[in-house]
Amino acid sequence: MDKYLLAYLGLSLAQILIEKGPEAYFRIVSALQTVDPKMENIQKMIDMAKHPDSYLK
Amino acid sequence: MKKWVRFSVLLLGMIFLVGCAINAQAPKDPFLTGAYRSLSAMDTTYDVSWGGFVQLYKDGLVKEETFQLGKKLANDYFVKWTDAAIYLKKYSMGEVDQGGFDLLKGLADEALKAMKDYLKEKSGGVKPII
Repeated sequence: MDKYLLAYLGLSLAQILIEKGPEAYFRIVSALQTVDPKMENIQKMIDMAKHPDSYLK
Repeated sequence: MKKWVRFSVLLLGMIFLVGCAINAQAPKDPFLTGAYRSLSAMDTTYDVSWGGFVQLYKDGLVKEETFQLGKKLANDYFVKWTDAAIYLKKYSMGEVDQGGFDLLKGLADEALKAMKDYLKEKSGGVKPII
């Protein structure tokens, strides 16, 4: 991977960590680390996605 | 000054760790890996954008009418994103080819942009991070 793209990615992740907290940071990092996801990974991603109404609870 | 040094070390450490993880293994199916990563990134963008807007609504800083329109856009995005994710799941099981994914992801991208633009405008111009 291009080193400048990697630096940009690192800075973006640092910004997410600082401004949005560790949960958002680790979700992004986890997705970036997944290579050749299985059906189970994709189903888990679908299950974890929150419907707009669920934010109101 | 010490804070900046610590921050720089932390930042460089994160860049290093992420770099190692990304370069550790080349995907056998770059399309599947790329599609999964982009859907995950979209979900995180939606999560932080919509979650923040709902918090403003709960704090009484957003009018009901404004909130309901935002919710309509969020619902529209969520349905389209889910369609794209289900298609990708079917692709991973070998049931469909790559062809339809770009169309579905494109629709979800458009819906996400519409939602982000609306939330940005109605929350005082706070620019979403991603």
